[in-house]
Amino acid sequence: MDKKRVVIIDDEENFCKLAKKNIEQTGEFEVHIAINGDDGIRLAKEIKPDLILLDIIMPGMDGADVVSLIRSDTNIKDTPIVFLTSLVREEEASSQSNFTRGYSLLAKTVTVGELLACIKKNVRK
Amino acid sequence: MVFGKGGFSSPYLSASFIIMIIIIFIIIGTLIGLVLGYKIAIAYQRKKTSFPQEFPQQVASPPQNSSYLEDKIWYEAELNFLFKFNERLLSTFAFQNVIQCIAEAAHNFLPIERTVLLMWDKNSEKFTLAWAIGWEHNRSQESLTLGKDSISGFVIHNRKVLVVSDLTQEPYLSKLKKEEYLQKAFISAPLIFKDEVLGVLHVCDKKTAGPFTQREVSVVMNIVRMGVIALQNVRLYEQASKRAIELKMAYDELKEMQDKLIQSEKLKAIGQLASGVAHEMRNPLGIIMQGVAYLEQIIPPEAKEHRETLSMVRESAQRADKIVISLLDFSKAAKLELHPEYIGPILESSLNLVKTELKNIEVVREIKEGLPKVLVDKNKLTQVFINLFINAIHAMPGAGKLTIRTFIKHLEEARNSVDNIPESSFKAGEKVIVIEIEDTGVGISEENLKRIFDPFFTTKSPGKGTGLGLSVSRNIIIMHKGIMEVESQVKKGTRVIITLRI
Repeated sequence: MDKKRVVIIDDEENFCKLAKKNIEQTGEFEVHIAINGDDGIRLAKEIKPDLILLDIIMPGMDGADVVSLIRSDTNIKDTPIVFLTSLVREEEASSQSNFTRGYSLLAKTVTVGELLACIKKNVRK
Repeated sequence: MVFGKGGFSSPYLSASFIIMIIIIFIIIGTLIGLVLGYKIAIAYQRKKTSFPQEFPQQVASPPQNSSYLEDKIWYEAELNFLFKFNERLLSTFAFQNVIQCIAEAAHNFLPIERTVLLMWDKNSEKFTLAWAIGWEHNRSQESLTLGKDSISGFVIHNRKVLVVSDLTQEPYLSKLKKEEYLQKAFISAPLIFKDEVLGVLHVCDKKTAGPFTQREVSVVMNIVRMGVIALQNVRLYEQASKRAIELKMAYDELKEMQDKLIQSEKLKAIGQLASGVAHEMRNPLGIIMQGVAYLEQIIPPEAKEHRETLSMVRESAQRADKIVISLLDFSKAAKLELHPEYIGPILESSLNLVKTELKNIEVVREIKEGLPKVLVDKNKLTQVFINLFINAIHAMPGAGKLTIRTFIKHLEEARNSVDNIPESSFKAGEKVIVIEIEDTGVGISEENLKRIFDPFFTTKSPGKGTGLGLSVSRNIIIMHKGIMEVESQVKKGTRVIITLRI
């Protein structure tokens, strides 16, 4: 069975690297990382992932910009997205705009178990 | 030696003549001395009896044809009297005392039957009786009806002293409403300060025959002049005292508002800071959590010390994350989701979440039935109740009693919220729901009680509390436009009272 492809877009490179190790540890996923929005879009277009883990607050292109570009690209517009954020509550993200509505939101401090459960739930079947 | 005849008189004759002249001079001198001595004695006698302790008593009416000496005695007496009058005026700052002082001064110095002092009320345009000596009849009635159309009104209109020898002989005054105590001879002097009329002093019914003299009128005018200044001083003193009290009250109010504002601004600033810090903290915490999780996977189970160390790191990171969540809660970033809810079930579910901690603590529920639904954010309120239950449990380490009480009441008096926001304040008589959470724990000292709502203030050991629980809880209650208060007695227990509007 082919591994599901996951892209992590987050400006915290160390977080990306460690999360990649933990997710790949399961043997079920192939994880690619991008440390800014532009690289993330390029990577998504290139590998057409089964799930994108996306940070919200990033310098330059932020999570909201990335979502709108993905959703406007016919090739990748249906890619499931999970927000991985340093924000604590959903209201905080949605207070800025409504772009997170309907998406899963994960705190960066979740345990690996919770992170994997969320990935498995949302990944393209 | 021969002297010419007829050139000189006889020497004996000349000597007799000189002696006679000397005798005549002696007689005249003695007579003058006797007259003068008598007058001085009389004057001295008058002066001696005129000035008892407080005020000079009546001086016999001075003769109409006064001499220099009489003038001197009179002026000395007047000066002495005015000096004492002034001394007494200066000894008081009470309005009524000054009034009495003016009336008594006039009455004691002059040979009169009655003295009446009226004060003018410019708003009602009526006189009110301030003081009367020698007149008792129907006082209140008189002062109620006395207005501009009276003799007193005439005096204040003219702004001049009125001296009347015989009222029956004054046709222009007979048209006016006559004060009953103004009989034949009287002096009516207006009390005027700058342009403002304060009242009228009536000095009536001279005991001795004849009209009031110029000297007597002059004394009345001096009494009035000094009295007016004293009255004005009293008024200024009263105004200054009143202003001082008002200023003190305004200052206290301002200080209280300022303290609340500072507290409120401080909380806002801490909130903003907390929010920023919380977000920045979460990224490194996320990395630590991921790193620990990775290491835990690759370290073999037999490397117990390594795994223990990692476990400690993970727990610490999780603790730090909890602090971050508290900070974020504190920053009020979250909004309320208000729905009509029953308070009882929220209390029960909150209690259920801490039941493992209760151990030897007895729970007493005094939850009134039939309480109405209240518009609250269930999750936030649960957070508050859990915070309060945990605090209560920590305050009763061995055992104790936790009482949960809810009831409806009408507030006896108006209540202000911490921020003094009108919509967060309650009116007297307002119907509210009260939630009380009471423990029989260690209690909080008076000193600590003042600080319990300060962010980061805690008496708990490290790791047990962030010092944000009560701050966050109170913020949540404030967001609900409610009030949270804490009463406590050391070694007896603590009661938290939450008041919410229905």
